[in-house]
Amino acid sequence: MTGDGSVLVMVVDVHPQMAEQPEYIHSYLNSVIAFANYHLAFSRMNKVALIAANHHETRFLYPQPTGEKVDRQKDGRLEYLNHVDESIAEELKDMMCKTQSVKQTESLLSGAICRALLYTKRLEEEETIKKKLNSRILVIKISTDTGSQYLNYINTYLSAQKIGAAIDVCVIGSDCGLLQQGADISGGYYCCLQDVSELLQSLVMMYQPDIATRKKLNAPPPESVDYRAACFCHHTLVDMGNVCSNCLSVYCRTVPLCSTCDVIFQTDRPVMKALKRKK
Amino acid sequence: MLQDEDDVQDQKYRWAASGYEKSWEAVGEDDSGRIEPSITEMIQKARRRRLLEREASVRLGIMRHVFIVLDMSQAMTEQDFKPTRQICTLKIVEEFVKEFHDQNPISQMGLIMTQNKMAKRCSDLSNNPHRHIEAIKKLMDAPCRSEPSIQNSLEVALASLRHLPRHTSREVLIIYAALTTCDPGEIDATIQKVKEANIRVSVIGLTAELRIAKEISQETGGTLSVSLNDLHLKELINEHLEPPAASVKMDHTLIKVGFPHQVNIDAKSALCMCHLDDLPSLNTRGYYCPQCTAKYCDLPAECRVCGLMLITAPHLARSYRHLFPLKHFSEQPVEESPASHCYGCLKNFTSSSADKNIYICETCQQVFCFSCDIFLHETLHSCPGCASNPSISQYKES
Repeated sequence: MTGDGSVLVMVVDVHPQMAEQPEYIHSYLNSVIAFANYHLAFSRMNKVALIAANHHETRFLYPQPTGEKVDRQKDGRLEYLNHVDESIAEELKDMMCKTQSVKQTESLLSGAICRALLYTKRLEEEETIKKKLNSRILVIKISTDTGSQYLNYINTYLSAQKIGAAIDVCVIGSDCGLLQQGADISGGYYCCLQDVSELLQSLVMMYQPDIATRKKLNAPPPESVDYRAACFCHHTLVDMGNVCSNCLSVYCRTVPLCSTCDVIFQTDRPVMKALKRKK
Repeated sequence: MLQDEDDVQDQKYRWAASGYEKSWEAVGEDDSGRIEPSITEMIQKARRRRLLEREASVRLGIMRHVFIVLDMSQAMTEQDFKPTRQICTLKIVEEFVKEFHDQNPISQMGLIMTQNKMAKRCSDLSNNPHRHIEAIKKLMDAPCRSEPSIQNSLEVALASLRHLPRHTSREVLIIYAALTTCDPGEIDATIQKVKEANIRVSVIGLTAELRIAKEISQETGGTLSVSLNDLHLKELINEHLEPPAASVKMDHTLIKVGFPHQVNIDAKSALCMCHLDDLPSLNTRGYYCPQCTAKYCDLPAECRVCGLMLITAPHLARSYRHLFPLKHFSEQPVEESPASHCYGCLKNFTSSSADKNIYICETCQQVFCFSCDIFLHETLHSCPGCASNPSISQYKES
């Protein structure tokens, strides 16, 4: 472990669909908060931030913009940890009460990851001695995926890669190819769990070590990532496709005109003629 | 030979060119007696101005093929750029090459150097930045000799660019220090040929404006600029990172591309095709070309066997940001801020005296601090406020 401590920004999915089973939500939130405490208790230098996202909004659970206030000690616990827990619980309650009818099945995780990136960037800037912060983002996801935030996701991955913040992804339930790409691009772990009861154990075993330490550990080999693009006409993944030279839309077969940017494609024949004439 | 009358008046001397360098005049103490905020403000203004200058164009030449012509003549040994013109320019170009490939993943680049009245290709068109950087490293130690030749350089670039498909944006960027060119024939004929081949030639001068450079850039639709100092040179070169507007003559076609599979673990080990020259070791990591199953260790690449362009979906998406840029935020003084803290990084506006202005996204009405505004527009290219608002992110989709 490096002595400098590390920054962990957790992006937690709190989509209301998890509330369908009471035990589920209890176990889920407990694991998340326990892991946040675990990270803080591990080293005095460690820092944590939590951002929650549901279908309606994204919100910082900890730290809060109003600033820090440390309460008196309760139950013999560390004041700081207690403060973190209370802050999380308070904000979560507020967030869930405001939740309106659920139409979308997807949480706004991409917005939350954006904010996580901005937050890490700020911590880095505020560092008095300019040095590389040991920062990573952990995304925990439970809701289903629709791919409507594709562009935002990709933008966050590329920025994360650029500023050197790894994005770890832990998905509960069905596999998520989009987030898997993110983990692969930014150099984080991806893991898909079947049940929420495995969450805390996986978090502690896999996601606790920082990026530098992970090189010394034997992680399960990464699965191969599917980097195929979906074509715009049938929304199926293609191995080989045609790309519009103007707007980069992907088509699975030859089309006469681009439906996205209304450009008429030149067929091969006139191009060949023009070349011959020039020669 | 020199610039127009107006230009000369606008252009100041190096010591007066940027607010930066006469900061002793502008620096003032703030209420708490600190001088840091006034400098920060100056830097902030300069960075934001640069962002505002960018304009979104409707049709862009996203697939770029760029040749950089480097002057390696006697004139590059002058020491007005520190340590020498040669080292200074090459260092900037090296940075440019890295950034170029990062921002234009489906574009290709090549290097040409000219000295001794001749022009030589240092690295072929490719989308692998490592080759270019190696070539630049070699040029760092190379001696600068004799006179350069614009005509020969253009001919060399023309020979490669002429045969490219017609949907690509063909560009030549000449970085030129000498005040002369030694050409074997009529340069006007070459300029005509370049123009016919639809190649855009831009010239960046290190010393002064040349008439021939002006003519070339005007004829071919490129830009001409002369650098004042090393910082300005960097700025001028980096202007070419953004893809140019597509020219009218450009055709639009469907380009066939492959989205390779990552090699699975139980695959047989194979040589990777991109490093065949350096005798690679057998391994199993890499990507297979979907057409001919040649293996590549890094993407994007052009298949050496079947010529298919191999990319991944994120590479395509990386170019989308040129097509769908993030809108500029509106600037407001911090006193009129509707929020007490930055939406992105939670920075309090009251406590930090460095922030004199706040920035509001006009779509989602969220407030951002200065450094977040710069980061969003320079790096991230999507607004967290809009992404966290279900009605806006759905609207975007349709």
